[in-house]
Amino acid sequence: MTTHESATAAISRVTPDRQRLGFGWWSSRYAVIVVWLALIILFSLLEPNTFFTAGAFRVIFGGQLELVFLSAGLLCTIIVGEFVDMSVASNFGLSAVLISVLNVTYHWDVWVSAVVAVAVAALVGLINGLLVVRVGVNTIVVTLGMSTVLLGLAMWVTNLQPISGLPQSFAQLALFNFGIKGGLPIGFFIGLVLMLGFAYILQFTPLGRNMRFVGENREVSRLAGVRVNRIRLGAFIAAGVIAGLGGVLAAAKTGGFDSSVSQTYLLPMFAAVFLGTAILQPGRFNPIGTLIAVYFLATGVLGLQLLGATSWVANVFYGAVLVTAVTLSTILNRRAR
Amino acid sequence: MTTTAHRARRSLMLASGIAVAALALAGCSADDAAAPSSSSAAGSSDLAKAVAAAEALPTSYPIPADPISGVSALKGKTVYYIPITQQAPQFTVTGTALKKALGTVGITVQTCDGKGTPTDIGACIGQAQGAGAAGIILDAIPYELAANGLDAARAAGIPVIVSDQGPTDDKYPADATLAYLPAPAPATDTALLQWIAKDSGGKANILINQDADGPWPAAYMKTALAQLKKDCPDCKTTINQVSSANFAQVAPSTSAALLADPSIDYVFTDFAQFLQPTQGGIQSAGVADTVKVVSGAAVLGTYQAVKAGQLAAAAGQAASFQGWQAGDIILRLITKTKVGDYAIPTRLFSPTNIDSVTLTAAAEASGEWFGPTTFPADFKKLWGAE
Repeated sequence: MTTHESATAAISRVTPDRQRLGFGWWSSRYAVIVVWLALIILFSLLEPNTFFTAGAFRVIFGGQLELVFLSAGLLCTIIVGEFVDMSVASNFGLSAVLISVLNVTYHWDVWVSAVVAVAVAALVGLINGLLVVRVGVNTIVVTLGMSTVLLGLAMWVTNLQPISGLPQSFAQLALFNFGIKGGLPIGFFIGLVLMLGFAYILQFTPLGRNMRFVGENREVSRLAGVRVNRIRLGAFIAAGVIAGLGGVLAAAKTGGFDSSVSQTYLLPMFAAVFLGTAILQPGRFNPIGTLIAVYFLATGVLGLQLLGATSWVANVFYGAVLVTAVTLSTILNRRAR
Repeated sequence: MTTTAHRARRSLMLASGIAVAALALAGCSADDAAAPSSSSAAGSSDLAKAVAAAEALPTSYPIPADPISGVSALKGKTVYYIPITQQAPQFTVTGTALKKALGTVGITVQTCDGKGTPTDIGACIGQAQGAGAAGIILDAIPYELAANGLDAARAAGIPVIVSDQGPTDDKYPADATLAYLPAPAPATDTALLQWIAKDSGGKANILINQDADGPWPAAYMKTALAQLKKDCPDCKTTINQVSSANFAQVAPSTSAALLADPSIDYVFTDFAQFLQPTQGGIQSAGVADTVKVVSGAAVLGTYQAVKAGQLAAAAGQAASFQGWQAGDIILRLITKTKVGDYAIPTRLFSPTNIDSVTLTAAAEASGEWFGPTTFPADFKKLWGAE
């Protein structure tokens, strides 16, 4: 195995074709997608008038902008082996409240407010990165503390009140539907481009390959000449930028933001990212798998809601799906090897 | 090219294909959204008068008549303010006003967040008792949620106010150590439903996101719905229970309710803390252009949304005045002075009158949206704190 060949490629090179194309190989990559389709069929049969409709399609695909950006932010650091950045949701929330406060309360131009909000989020990522990479503090400790600080700051700048009143024209940044009545909002396509772009970078660019190397073995990567610390620091900054952009879009979508809302995304965000490791690239954090996981989870939650399930069921669903899917993928991936 | 790269390209192509399919499917015009509702000002003259009265600026605040003696001896004491959750922005306004009010007589107010759970509420009450608080003011917490702790506090001589709940509780009647400052929510819920009835010309189909944190929001809504039945016999309502303990489900449950009944043309959220996730759910369902949203328990951000056109109407209570009222009641309990009946003023805001008020934090704190701003001086006079 050469230093520039990934471990997966090496395994693929030596694995007999029969194993690679067997049931285990396919099921470890596509089982969740099959289950997703089965859920769609099940809910459609149980609720044909409400689930199997364009409206439900819109809810599932058009309503996950926040989760897509949050998951992408978390992926940035997890892929380079930083386990885990707990501050993504709070950074997202701070960005969303900053643009709202600057524009609504202090009457700054909304676009200038957006730039400032994203810049602050990037700065948070930089601080996280410096503390973890340069100083060497544990990732969870730094980001958990930072998460609490950011949440407090968001509550402080808003005085614990939700802020509303961003210009209606600014909402088009997230809600524009290309003039197609009932169409998906632009936020869906922005999230799609983000994840596809991320996947492209990871798979086809030297930067992406280096990120994978660093995530798989820091010391080997360093010996191979990869600038490990620069990659890790860049990952934290990228996570901040993505969280910041997501926050701005979330605020645009609802015309403002409530500082306490960001924490509610924590469970779905982790569920989507970890469930993504059971899709397409078993055992590996990957953007496309995560994107599919986001919509899989949204499908399950909406289906259960339409069936009349009370809210606690959604929490059980998130947790059960996550544990089941990752366990299944681990077992199937082990058999496939 | 390596096999891995081939598979990766296939995956990306699959994903890109999903994107193209999404674009194509996005053009599907199987539109489930409700038809736009009428915005005509139809409705009986009584209904129109009721709405106008709810929108009018009250001419005075209800200030008690009897002064309190012995307040100066309470300097240096601490009173605990425990809202059910600090997520609800209204409690911030009340808490700040209460702090200012009792600060005029040298009493410190300590706020403890109930976080929507009996465990945290109980911990706050225990903290207050342990600290030797002079009084405890609960906000939107039913007595039974923390009965043991409250009984112990009262037995230890710490008086308690239950505010923003029902006028009384037969199981826990008011006495020398317990008083109630009832929520005006029946009035705000009624005003909002009357506005909807008038705005829709008597034909509204309303989704109500009703708070499930405690029994009283449902009781308030029951009162309001009884009035709606008289004002708007053809109006239809659907209740969707939401909770601050399960905030993440507000948006998807709203979307699901709108999908289940595409003819819904009004969405009512009884507490402003649920407004933004409710709006998120409405947008996800793709009916933001055809559904009008109204909110109760409104605060500054909610009224800003009315002014910006994101909200059709909002009704709130004089949260700042309520802080001073709560201060007055706790002082009466502590000094064993007779406690009378109290009512928190409310007002309905819509595009009709939203431009008549200044939407700033200072204006909210002053109470000018609900009446004349002389009430701090009036209360200080009663307490001998001028």
